[in-house]
Amino acid sequence: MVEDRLLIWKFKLGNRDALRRLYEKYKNDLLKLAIALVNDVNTAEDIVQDVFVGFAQSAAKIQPRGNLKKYLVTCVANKARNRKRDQQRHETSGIDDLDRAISDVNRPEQWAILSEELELLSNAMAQIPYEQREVVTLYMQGQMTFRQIAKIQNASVNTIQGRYRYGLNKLRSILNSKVKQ
Amino acid sequence: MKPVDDIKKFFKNAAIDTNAKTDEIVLNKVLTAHEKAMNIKSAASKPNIRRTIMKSPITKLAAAAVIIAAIMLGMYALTGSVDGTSITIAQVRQAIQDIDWVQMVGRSEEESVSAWYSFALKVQILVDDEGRIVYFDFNAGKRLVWNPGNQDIYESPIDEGRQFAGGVSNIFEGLTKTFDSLEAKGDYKVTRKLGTYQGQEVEIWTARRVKGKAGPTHTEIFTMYIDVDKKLPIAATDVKGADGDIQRTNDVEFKYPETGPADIYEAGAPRSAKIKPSPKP
Repeated sequence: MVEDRLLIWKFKLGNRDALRRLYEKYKNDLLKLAIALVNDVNTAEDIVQDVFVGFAQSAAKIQPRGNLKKYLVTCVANKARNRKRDQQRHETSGIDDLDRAISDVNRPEQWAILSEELELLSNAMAQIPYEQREVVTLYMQGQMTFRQIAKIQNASVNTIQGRYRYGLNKLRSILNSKVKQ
Repeated sequence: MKPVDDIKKFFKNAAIDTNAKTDEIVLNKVLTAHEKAMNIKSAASKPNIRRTIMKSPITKLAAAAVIIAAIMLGMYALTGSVDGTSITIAQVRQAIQDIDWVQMVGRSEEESVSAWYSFALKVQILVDDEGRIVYFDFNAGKRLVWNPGNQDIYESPIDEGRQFAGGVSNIFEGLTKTFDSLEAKGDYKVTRKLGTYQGQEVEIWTARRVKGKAGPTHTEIFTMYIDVDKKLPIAATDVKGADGDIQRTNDVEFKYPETGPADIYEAGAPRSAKIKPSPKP
């Protein structure tokens, strides 16, 4: 936390090394979080890249006193939700698939390298409702509290705790069945 | 092992790595974006509006309380029997009655909060540490919320019982209410002197607790800086203590812009964000 504050101060003053350090520190956690949320490596990479670029552009607005990790986690969660909503909106148009195909061709080598466990987890996550997936991921990977997640989902803490329990049960049963196979 | 632990362990073991070549490409994009932003910032001469850090509703309340207490204690100082007064209570009363918008930035060791209040429009805007914006329009009875990175702004009715600026219809009313209670207690010794605040000529009023109970939520020393020309408070520091040990310091800066953000977009939400009804939990 103290290290982050110092790095943010330096970053606000234009120090590139401080930004590089923050990027190195959080990129893996954020990628893992995004992959668990969207179950698509390319989309997850785009989200994390967008979040870092947005963060880099907002040097003047960032205050060093807050919790940076939670801020970045919230940004990833919001972007993931927006992507999902946009995908649903254009699901039937087919144009997204075309765009994605073109962007995949232009894409450099894959950024994230997933372990077998993460692929398994991501696939299992994709099978549970998005709101439950978001709660489980933000709580376990984002280290957010139920209260903070309630704020993001605009729901009560009880609702969030319920989503967490249901999500966890489903996830456990999916993972157990995969392991048995 | 508990089932929850299984999943936690699974999350922990689900490792990820990144391709070094792509890593460098992404990092360069990030650094370029930063560089561009820094250039724009240095070219702009206007002071930027501070974003805030405000972690919980409790902090918001504490920050709001500091503002009211700040202005109020200023009034207490004004009414104290102090020699060599250069600013009179009538002058401050008049100056305060003439203002509509108040912008304040409150800071403590852990967090800060930024807020705007329009007493004519009954608009109250709060921005938290993650850039979350909450825009209250009490005349229309609606509340708008925008979360950073989100493309939607959620609209919902203002909770029943919630009052604009904590039920104060104008700053002066807030001042006099607080003043009455403080005066009745008589727990503070007030001193005042001329000085400067960030290069500006000010009167510095200090209220020090001489009686009453010390505690983490009780003010130990309160300092307020009053603009000599405009007769308005421009900053205050509130130190709360327990048994004489300083525990927490809140700094507040006041600004009196002619107008504030006209809507949630001017408060910082992206223009592309659309206003939608808040989804029910």
